[in-house]
Amino acid sequence: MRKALFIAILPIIASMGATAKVIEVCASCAHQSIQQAVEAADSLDDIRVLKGRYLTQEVVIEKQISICGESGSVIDGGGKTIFYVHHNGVSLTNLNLQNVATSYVEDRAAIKCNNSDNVHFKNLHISNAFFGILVEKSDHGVIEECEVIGKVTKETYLESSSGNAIHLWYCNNMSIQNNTVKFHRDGIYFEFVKQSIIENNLSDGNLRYGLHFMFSHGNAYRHNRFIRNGAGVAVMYSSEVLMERNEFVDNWGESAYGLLLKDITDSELKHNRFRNNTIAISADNSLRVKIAFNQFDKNGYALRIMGNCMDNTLENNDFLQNSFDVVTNTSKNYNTFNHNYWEEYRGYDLDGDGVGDVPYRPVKLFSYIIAQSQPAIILMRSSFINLLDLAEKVTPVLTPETLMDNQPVMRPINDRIKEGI
Amino acid sequence: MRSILSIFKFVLIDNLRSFWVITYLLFIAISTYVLIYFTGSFSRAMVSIMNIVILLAPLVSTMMTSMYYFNKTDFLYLLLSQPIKRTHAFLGMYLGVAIPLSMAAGLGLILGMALSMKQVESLETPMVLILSGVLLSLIFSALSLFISLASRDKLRGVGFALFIWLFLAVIYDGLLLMYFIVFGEYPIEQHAIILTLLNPIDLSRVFVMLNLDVSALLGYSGAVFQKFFGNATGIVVSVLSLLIWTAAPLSGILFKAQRKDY
Repeated sequence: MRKALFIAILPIIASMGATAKVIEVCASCAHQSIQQAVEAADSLDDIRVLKGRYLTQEVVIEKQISICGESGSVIDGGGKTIFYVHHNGVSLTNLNLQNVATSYVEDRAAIKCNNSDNVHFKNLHISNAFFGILVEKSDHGVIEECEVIGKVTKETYLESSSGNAIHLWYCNNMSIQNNTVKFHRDGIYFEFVKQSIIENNLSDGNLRYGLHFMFSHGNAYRHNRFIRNGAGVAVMYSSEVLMERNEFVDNWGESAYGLLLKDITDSELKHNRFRNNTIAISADNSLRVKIAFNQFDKNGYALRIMGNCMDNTLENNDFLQNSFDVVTNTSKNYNTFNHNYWEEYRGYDLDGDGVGDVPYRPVKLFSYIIAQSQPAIILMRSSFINLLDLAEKVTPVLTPETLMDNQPVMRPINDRIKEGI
Repeated sequence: MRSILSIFKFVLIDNLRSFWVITYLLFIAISTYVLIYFTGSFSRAMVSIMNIVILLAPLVSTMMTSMYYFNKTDFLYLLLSQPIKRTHAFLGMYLGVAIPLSMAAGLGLILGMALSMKQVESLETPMVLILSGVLLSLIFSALSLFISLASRDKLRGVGFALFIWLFLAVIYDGLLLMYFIVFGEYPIEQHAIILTLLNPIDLSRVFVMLNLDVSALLGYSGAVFQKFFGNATGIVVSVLSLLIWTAAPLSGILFKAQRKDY
């Protein structure tokens, strides 16, 4: 009886084994193009792209297959979108994708993924593309170890003629890890993305923002580096955002920010490093954001906090060698500054507990003056201005009287933390 | 010409041996060293050193020059009774005072920075500082000698020279600020540049600031200033302005020297 059952099941087992077949693509193989291979493949098949150059345009993947490239294989879009992914569980690995032209009519991308959960894109090299990876309405996907190098430079391209490197729209629980995105409009762009993790990415030299997200709640950003982006990082209209141990470096320009917080609520910014930015953090209408253990180093303005920001707390941050530490546009203050290290603090610590005995007011009168009349910036570091600043510190008239750190720390905090790690 | 040289040599040696010039050099060297060594951050140290250079160097030059002039009137009378040109006597005297002072400022800075070489991150700002120190000493020595020569007694001479220092170091910036605030609505960047070129102390400060606060200067005005002071013409015009600041009082000295009735 048992034997009969085994014989009955055998063909089923055999056919299951047959499903995971490998289809090779090369000039002398049975399938010479990726289009043919995808058409011939059944669900769960592997397609292996061997060495060579393949013109591949608008290949629609509607079954759960995986495509893996051999080194030396190049997939050329010839100006059009290369892959449309329309099925769950599709996996693309080790591919070299090139040449997707700018279009003002459709969003062309090297990979355009739609309504597909659990996709896995790994080690893809995308160059000269309009959009790199564009994912819409897909959950639980992973994008890792990809390198998306665009073609835009400030001199030759406009924002309108360039796309984003990694663009996510209406996605949940995505994971974006160890990617490098360069020379696109936005490095990583999120809209309506929730509960996702963004880790260890490098976003460098993008025309607009290194990272840009809107209406994306509950995401965590860790260990990313945002360097030399045209306007830094902009995060807008989101809540419960966690940004930890990121680096914001060399974001230069008239309207460039290390980090622009616009309508951000209930979020945390911890252990980040801001260095050489025109404005390290610009906060506008942000509520209940915890900014702690960050290091602000050599920025023009470390923190620009608008009058519509409330209940934010700044604790245990280091302000080092910034031209201006804190700038604001009101004479009222609804935020808490406590236990930070201010390099320009001149107070004393009689009881030796490491906390200065005199409160510190980080807003300078001079920042008010240059807000009134920009050319006055030529008077920076003048003795007369120093005298004015000193007078204003003693008796604040124009700067917010309550914007002060009651427990300014005597030594930088975050060096000690680094040693602790 | 030989008379200039011999007077210059005498005054120079007289000054080099002076306790105050040596003290001044040591003070600058030690404070530069201490600031770089103990502040920890290079740019903060540079800001403090800049304040020493642009405030102290002109003040010390002003005081030392007018004091020297008024303390050595007897020597001057003796000189003038000799068969040498008045212009030679005064030129020799100016060089003899101004060169030790500018050397003290320049060498003091170089010595202080050389002692803390490890902490020096870039050479650009220190070079600007040294050049500013030397030129400001030359300028304020000339100004002060001219004022001393033009005034009747010691009190007025020293007092007026001090006022000129205070005016250029502090009051001028206050007036500038008033101008900027009153005309804040207008594009007055060009005016700001011209008004800065007119004041040697401001000029030195702006060059140091352009090196240190690059990121704060990225607004429209900052960009205009950087474009002007950052390129070759701007630097040439600035150095020219500083040279005119030395040459003008110097020619004033020569003019006054010939007409003064002792």
